Amino acid sequence: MNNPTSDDRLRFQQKCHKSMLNTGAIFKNCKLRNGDVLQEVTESLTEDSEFNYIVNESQNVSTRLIFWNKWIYILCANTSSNITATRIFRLDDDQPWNLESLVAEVCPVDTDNRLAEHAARTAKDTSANELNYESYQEKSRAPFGFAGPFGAMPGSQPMFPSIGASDLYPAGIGGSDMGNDGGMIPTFNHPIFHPENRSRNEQASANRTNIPPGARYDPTGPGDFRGFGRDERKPQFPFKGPRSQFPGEPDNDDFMPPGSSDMFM
Amino acid sequence: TTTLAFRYQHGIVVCVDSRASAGPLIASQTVKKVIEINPYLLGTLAGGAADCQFWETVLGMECRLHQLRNKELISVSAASKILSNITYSYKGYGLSMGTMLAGTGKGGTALYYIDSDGTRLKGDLFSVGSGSTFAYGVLDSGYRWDLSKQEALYLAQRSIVAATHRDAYSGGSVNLYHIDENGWVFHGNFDVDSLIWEAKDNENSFAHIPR
Repeated sequence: MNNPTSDDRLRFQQKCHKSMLNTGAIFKNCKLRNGDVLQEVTESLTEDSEFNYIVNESQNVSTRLIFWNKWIYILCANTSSNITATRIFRLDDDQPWNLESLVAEVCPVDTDNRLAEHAARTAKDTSANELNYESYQEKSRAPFGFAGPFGAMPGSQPMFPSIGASDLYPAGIGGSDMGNDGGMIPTFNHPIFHPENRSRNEQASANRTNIPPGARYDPTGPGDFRGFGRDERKPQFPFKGPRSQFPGEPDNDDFMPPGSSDMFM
Repeated sequence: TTTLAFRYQHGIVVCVDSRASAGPLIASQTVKKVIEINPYLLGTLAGGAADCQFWETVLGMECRLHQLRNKELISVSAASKILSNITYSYKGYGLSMGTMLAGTGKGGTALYYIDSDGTRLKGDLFSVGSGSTFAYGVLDSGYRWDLSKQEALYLAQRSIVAATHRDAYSGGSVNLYHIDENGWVFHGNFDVDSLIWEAKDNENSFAHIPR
């Protein structure tokens, strides 16, 4: 599909137009190559038409498509503030185009506004295409919690098991402790300490721990050798006594100073 | 965890165990599960240790600010509402807290139960935590409004001992507090190991435990 036909070009223009409307942009008019201005999108479009939109009620945004080899370039300019941006899609890519970031790039607004708008749009959209469905799922997913008789919100899917459930609920009516082994203090097994299992994109170094280099680490229990040889607090002076490599040396900051629990002292 | 508090004719008794577990380990037998918010208010801790400690410390700050702004002590009712508003606003986000607020202030002594679901209940008798059912068993059979102070303190302590005996997530020692119109008074820390033998000797309970 190296040379799109005229029909294809018009189809991509329509697709671009729909994608723009999906971002919440309001269609203003369409300028044809010969100078004619259309107030609505009709069949009689020509190639290289310029589409004008209003974003956030005040920003004027123009888009144009450029076809080159296997690619479609969407040129986008904010004529109110002269910010421009482009997006490139493949001709043979049938996925829907998400132009939200493009519009956001040319119309920087404060994030809260945009989030609120997005939420309102998602709620309004009854057609529930896949994209919106996904963002809805993401919003309702609580980062912690458990799917038990207590706690979980209707329809919510906890990403992590709860910390402290087995200390809070009598045996038999609590939630599952999967991944945390129970107890009121999280163990190293808790998924919050294992980001590498959640996202492959993160630069999880393939080593044994998730302890950032240089971080202090005190063992969480017997047999925890993750802190072995990484005590960064003790500087290595060769002549100032032996330097212990054994993890579990007392952390001098572990206990609060005497009297610190008395807030009235 | 087992925590309990009840109101009776002379005020409020608050009593807790002191065990913290982390997975298969007992992480500590000396946890302070009563958080001294100010000289007039106590909070108890069950569920996530960090959640309770952090948010009850925040509550302590809010109560102090209330006192500075309004030149009077915050009522237990208002303090409990601050905490329940916090927990409700984080509902579904994994906080794990079961807490009781007991104290005195504007309106006299009062006892509230607040949890991470946002529940806030006023009451005369609560027990919270994994061992609460065991504590309720002893508490309900011995509780009366007109208990003497001595009886009330012993009942609270004895209920916690029963719970530490049956609940693996409870143990360590008992911390005992008493509240009246003048604020709270700490009534001591007692190892449950000695308390259970005392109970067996003095009242012939725990007869199933061989000497």
